[in-house]
Amino acid sequence: MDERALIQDILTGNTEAFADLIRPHQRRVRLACLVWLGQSEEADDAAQDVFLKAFQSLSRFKQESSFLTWILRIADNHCRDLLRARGRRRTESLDALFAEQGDAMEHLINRRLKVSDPIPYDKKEWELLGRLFTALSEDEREIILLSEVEELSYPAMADRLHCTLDAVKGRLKRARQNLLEKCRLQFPDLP
Amino acid sequence: MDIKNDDQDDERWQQLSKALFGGNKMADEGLFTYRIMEKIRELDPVAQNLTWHRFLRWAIPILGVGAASLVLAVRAPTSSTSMFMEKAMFGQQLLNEDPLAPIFEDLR
Repeated sequence: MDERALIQDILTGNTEAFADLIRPHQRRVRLACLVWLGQSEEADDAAQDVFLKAFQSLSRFKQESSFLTWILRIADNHCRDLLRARGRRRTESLDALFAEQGDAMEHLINRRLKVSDPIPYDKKEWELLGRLFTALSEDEREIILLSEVEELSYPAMADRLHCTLDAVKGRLKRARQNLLEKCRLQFPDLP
Repeated sequence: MDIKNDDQDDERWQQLSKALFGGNKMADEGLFTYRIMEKIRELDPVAQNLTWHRFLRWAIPILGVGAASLVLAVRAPTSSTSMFMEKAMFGQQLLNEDPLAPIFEDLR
């Protein structure tokens, strides 16, 4: 059943079919929440709330974009609200994280680079990833989220951030280089 | 030189990105989906009794058709009996009338 038909089915009363919408999109929604919030349990709670919000407002979904794009926007707004309510975001120094969890981080990266097929995240890796994202600035997280999780094109990112293409490219390049530099210093064996 | 560095950085970033963002799924996907569906069932009281609801969705029309059939089956012999009686009574009356009577009347 395609997504449009599935949504119609849910709207006509087959609530259980919503599980078929959660399954294919949960990884990206959870990842988006993790990038924003950093703490894995808080991110998963937020991701659950995002799916609940989507369910409750499904009748208002116009289907002008894909369900994934729509729900990622909900996730984005929800996480920003949570961060605002939290007041001050938790920050972590990348150097401190590497000093404490360097071996685990290296293991995470190497394990994933050795295999050609993608492998699932386990709980520890998920927590570690969250801590890594917390060490990035809000600007860096935002642009990396749009590029790596939402997989938006440069024009789409420029549209979302209300800035020029060059500004997007510059911002993304700086964010990537910062992360790369830190990882390279910590893990010289990285390719 | 800058272009070469940029290419190298791009390649390295692709590797790092694959490591950080390339997980194809989560280890606890089933549990995550289950938890959300539980909350949805709490939100939606109809969904709480979904099995019963689904059963009723089919059972009510079937029971309706069954009841209608029963009524028709009970009524059908009565109506066919009365039709037979009607035919027998009025048919008899028609037989008593000579269908050629008006013609003979004209010939006279």
